[in-house]
Amino acid sequence: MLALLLLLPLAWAPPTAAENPFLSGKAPKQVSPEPASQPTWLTKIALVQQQIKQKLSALIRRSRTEGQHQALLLAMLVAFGYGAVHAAGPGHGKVFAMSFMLSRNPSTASGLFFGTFVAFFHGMSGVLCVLGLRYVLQQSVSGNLADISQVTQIVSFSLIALIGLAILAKNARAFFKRPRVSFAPPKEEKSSASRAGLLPWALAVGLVPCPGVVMVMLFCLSMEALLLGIALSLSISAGMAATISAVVVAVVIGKAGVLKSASQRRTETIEAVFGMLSGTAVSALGIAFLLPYIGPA
Amino acid sequence: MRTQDLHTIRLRVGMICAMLAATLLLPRSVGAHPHVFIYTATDIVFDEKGLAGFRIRWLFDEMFSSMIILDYDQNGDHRFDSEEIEQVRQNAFSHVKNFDYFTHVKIDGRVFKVQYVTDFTARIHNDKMIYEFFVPCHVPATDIDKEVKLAIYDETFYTSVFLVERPVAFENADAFEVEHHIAKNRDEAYYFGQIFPEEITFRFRLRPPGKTE
Repeated sequence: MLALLLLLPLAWAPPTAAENPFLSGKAPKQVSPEPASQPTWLTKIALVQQQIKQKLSALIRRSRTEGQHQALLLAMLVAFGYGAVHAAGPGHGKVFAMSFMLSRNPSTASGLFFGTFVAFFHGMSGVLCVLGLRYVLQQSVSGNLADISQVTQIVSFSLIALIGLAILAKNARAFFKRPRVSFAPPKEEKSSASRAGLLPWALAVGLVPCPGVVMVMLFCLSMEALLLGIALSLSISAGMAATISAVVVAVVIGKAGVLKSASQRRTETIEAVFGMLSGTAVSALGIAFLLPYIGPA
Repeated sequence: MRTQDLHTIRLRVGMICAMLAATLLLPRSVGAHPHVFIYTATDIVFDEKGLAGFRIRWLFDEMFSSMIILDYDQNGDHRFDSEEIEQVRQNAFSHVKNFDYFTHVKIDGRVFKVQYVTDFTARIHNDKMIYEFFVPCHVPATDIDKEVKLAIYDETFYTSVFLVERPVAFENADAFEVEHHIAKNRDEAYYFGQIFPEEITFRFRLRPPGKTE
């Protein structure tokens, strides 16, 4: 667990603007730092992604024009795979989700619940963005996506920064209270009622529309296949949920496994320290991602 | 099973899970970021004095193409007329200026920043969109080799750019001796140092009088 916490700063590189350079009017907010590694496999993975996308668009076209159920099922599977691979890369709220869960005392089921809903909100945000712009506001999606992404990113990162500060404050207060007071959070946090309490935090992390889902939705709309687009978006979200949940559950199990081997007194101290470090990480991440939007142009 | 054994197993499972999570969290472990995919080809164009510039073509993936076509092929005839091309240029191309049009040039080791492009056009081919534009870059030819390096990539990796099978052609180059090769530039990685750009390096000089190819 110490290794994981030490790796936290490495896990999130300085944020780059996750904006479409073709549609966004803003210059890049961050350039990549000096080279440090020897790649070629990343380009190969990008090629695999492109091939998956190509396969997905061909399957969508076949299922739409030829009405083939087999093509539809295959498209759903490929969409799931695309979502899983896509969420494994930078972004998609894994670090936020991990840090947030580290600050609490959740069950594995809660970790699964949280990771799933982060992905669900991320995917459905893209669907709602397309539907809202296209059918309600009757505006160009490509022309407005960059602005919507920016607004949702500002809201999301602000909420995340506030959540982090609240976590830090709560655990710092518990840590510096008199020694006789238990630092451990109440056991009832593992109840199902607390899982519902995770939803607002999952929404804060997953608020930004997923560009991958937006493109699939628009592609299906171009073939007048709205329901197919929504179904594939759910499939992509399920794939992302698998990856994000895997990370979150691994953290939950990791933390529980490490704490089980510690004495009661040490457990309470470690949990408070985890809470403060997580709160610091979450708020720092939120602020770091927010700064390019509110700093000088 | 003894309590101590259970503690040990839990500890080991915990550590394995922690390391697995850390592996998935590291940005260099798996890269799945690009949302747009481009295949690119370049014509290197010469005039009577030397290098004139680069005519660059981008073939987009079908999904991004459909997004732009849906918004800008307003009459639905599956081709862009001149008004639609101008809309595409203003709303779905001009912003790439902030990213130097993804075009990274060095002339004899000095960076040449692409300030503007000309002759932009967009067309639809087999449901995929193609952009074509010209990057002016004047380099007079002399008796000594001039070396130019050209790489096309998006530093943010929102767009992944691939070279087509034969990515380079030379236009109006009869008056010059030209040689070129394509290789990864291992001195300039981007996207958190994870990707080396594919770079086209070509050298040219005036062809001596009377010497044919």
